[in-house]
Amino acid sequence: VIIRKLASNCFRASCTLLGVWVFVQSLPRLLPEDPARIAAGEWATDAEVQALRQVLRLDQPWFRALRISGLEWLRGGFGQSLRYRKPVSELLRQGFPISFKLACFAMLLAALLAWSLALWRGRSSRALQALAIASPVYVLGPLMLWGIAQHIPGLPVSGIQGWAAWILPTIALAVPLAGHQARLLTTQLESLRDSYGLRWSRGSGVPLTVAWRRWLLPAVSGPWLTVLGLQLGGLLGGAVLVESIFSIPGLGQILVGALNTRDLPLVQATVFLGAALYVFTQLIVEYLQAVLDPRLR
Amino acid sequence: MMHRLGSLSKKKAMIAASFLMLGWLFGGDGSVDLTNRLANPQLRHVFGTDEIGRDLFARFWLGGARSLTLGFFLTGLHLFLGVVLSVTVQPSLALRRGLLGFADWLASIPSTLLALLLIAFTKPGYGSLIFALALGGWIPYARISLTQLDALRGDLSLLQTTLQGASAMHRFRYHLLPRLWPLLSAQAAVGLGAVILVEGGLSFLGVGLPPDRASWGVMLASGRAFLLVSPWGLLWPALGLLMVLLLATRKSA
Repeated sequence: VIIRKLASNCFRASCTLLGVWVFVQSLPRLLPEDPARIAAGEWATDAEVQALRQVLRLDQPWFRALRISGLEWLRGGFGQSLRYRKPVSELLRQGFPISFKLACFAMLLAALLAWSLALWRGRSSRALQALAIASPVYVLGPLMLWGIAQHIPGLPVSGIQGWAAWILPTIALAVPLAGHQARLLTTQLESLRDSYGLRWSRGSGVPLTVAWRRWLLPAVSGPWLTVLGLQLGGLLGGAVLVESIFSIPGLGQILVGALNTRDLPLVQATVFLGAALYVFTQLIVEYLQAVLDPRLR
Repeated sequence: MMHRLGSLSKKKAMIAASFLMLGWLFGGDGSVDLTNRLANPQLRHVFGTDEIGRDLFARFWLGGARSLTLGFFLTGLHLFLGVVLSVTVQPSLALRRGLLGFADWLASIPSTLLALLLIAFTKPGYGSLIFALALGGWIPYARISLTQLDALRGDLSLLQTTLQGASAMHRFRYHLLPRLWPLLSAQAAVGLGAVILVEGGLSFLGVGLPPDRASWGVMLASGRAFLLVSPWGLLWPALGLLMVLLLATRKSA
């Protein structure tokens, strides 16, 4: 049963991705302004704009352009970047490991912070959670540059040289995520703590560790995984900000650069990659939940 | 006790309204004064000045008012779109499936990325910013009101109003909307914070509001660049954003 469900989920996910791809590819045609003119810049001559239209396949009919770039994508080529004059796939291959590493660090730290905030049942825990939720990446990052990095001489504030350079970006990315996770965990744990079943089992002499392992942990981990998946999938959005604050050459930085220079093929490929990562994490989360929770099978 | 604003409580609404009034009254984009750059807080410039000598106090208030106005406007737009779409779509099964499928598909592109993508293809300005943020924002509202409408489908009191000859508009205004409102307004309280957050991020990256307009995101970006000379350009908008988001995202209250 679980295999069949997985297969149907995979099918649905690939349909979604196909839709996203078509959307990303045909977006230039849907908008009222001429994207080639915007990409070419204000002072471009008509001939230059025309040349760009050819490169972007805007001069061809919609379906034919879609088919040609579809075949190209299937062969693993995502087109040429307008600005770097390099294949887009090469640029993405450089940026992806860096962003992935940052995302992993941030998720680990966020999970750690969230659990410690949720297990510590003080009044200030609630306040800290609210503060963490309300502090966006682009406020936290510069504030840490001012408040922390300035006073610790050896701490690098940009780039990815050495392990110390990862500290500040990881914290900036992790804190808001940790806030959301901690709030969820706190409410879940509180409702479970007062539940009849748990009190009964504790009263009949089940040790706390067993109760945790057998009941609390599985019950809490379902919703937690959902939130984790959503956050992990949306992390590229946060990475855009963090990477531009700490100048880390990852996917986010590539995307911002591509946006500023109106490098359309690069933007399309990066956004599609972001959507693909999101859909993929949803898939994994659904699978994990089916494994953990027999009711969903 | 339930008052009309639901989760957007009266106290918060009062704070927001007075903030907006102060902002549009006292705020300004500030005039350039190159002899007085990056000044510390003083009597003439209560918050100090930025890197080209504009008064941070005026920019702080106007930037905040802009963020809040945009946030309220967009949240209202999302709410309106969500409710209207769900009400039109609800009677027909095919249309509902279509809308929910479309929403699922749109939600698979993270909202920041979607906004960035749309802005990349259009000219920067208020129009494209609003369009980019409005495109995906209605989804939670539509989902909530669809589930609520489904739950109300077999409701006898609703049937009675129809039998008594109430018009669709009357039914919607006096019988449906009051029942949808509690959940919708709770979502709106969360959504307001999210909209302000995303808008600030886009402005910080330089693709949201135009850079010559004061907004907290823009101020943060320029404050960060001159951080080592004077922290004030960074601290005030950071403080403002923290306060507003803290108020907006606080549970219930």
